[in-house]
Amino acid sequence: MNTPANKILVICNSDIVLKGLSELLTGCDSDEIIILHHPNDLIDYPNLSGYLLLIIPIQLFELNEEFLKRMFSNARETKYLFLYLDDQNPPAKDSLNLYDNQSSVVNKVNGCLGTFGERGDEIIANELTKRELDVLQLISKGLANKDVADKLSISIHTVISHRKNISEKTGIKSASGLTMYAVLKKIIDIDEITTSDLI
Amino acid sequence: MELFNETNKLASVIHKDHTLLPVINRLGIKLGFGDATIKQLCLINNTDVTFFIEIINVFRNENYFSEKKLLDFSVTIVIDYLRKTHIYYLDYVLPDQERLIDLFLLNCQNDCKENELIRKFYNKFRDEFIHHIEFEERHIFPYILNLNECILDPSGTNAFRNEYKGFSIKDFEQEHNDMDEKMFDLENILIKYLPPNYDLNIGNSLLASLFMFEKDMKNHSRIEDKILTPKVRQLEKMLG
Repeated sequence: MNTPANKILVICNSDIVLKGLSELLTGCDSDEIIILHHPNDLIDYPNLSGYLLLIIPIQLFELNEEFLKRMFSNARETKYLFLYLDDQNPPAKDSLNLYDNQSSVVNKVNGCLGTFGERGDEIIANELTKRELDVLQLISKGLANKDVADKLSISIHTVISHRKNISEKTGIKSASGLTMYAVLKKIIDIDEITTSDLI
Repeated sequence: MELFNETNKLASVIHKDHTLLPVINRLGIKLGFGDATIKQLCLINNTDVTFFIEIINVFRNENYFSEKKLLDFSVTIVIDYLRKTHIYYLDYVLPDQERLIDLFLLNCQNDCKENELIRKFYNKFRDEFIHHIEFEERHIFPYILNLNECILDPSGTNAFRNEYKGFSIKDFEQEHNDMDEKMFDLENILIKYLPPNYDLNIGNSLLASLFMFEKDMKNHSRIEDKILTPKVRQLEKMLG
């Protein structure tokens, strides 16, 4: 959950290029590769989310820029590599050209994929803070957000924000899941909870 | 990821993605299909080939969802598929997972009090899930099928209106999120926080089964939320 899936999307109207690229791209660190002939085919792929790397001929991109950006509005982050299908001075950066060899293609693509999420908003340390542990203990015993707030003399918004952070750090969202986590991590003792109600 | 079409041999489709097996079973096709294409098999088994293709493509490809094509199918065919999916969950998946959890707990050494929690958590999820399925089978599907009948043959409309006074699909738009969330939590607990005193292979089998179930369940929810519900709203509008 902490690292959303990354997808490579290749749009090109040449089957030769599409097949060739999809063969080369199997060596890249992507979770999924989607191959399309035309930007309009994106209609069948609503709600693309996570990190997207779009590989597309530059001319096709320029013609469809508005539409493409609208289709990717749910993406966490979008990056582009433009395809140059003739060998007349393709720019070195952000581009793939027809005569690139395999390792150069893979390196460029992995280079793009590797920089996804480099904006400091990822959680680095997954350790719960002292306060988060307090909140987790009370939630695990079945207390509602409001009661947790009263008990710790903090506002309910603070409790909700702690809960969100706890879920992001542990990867566990439901209340009963958090109880199970707290027991397995010995944050609370199994005898402190009446398991029939809580789990 | 490529999309399948009716000219593909089903054998090569399954070689590419064996997780489609329960899906093709629900669509009426069993193993042992030789070199037949999807089109040939659907013809023999009386299965709607367009529906078959759309369902396997939607299942295989998480991002693919051709609403336009899927909205063309009748509610009867969609409900028939969803019902077969329910039967598969109730008769096979859930009992199999319970069996794995039993084995898993049986094999754990020393103190297993904490691991017992996994059973409790699973049971809670299972009960909610069964409740959800039963509600659909008993109330929602019959409502939709009756509604569909009225559109085909308006003579039953008055009786229908009397029986379902004030009823509308929007009252039933159920949250699937809750169950998806619990399933995800269970997987994460097994993956990240399991104490080391468990049987490796059974733990792996349990997790593999949960992953497959999760995929199937998400796909099932997607068909209900994105296809069935909009179709029913369409029918309700037609009835006026």
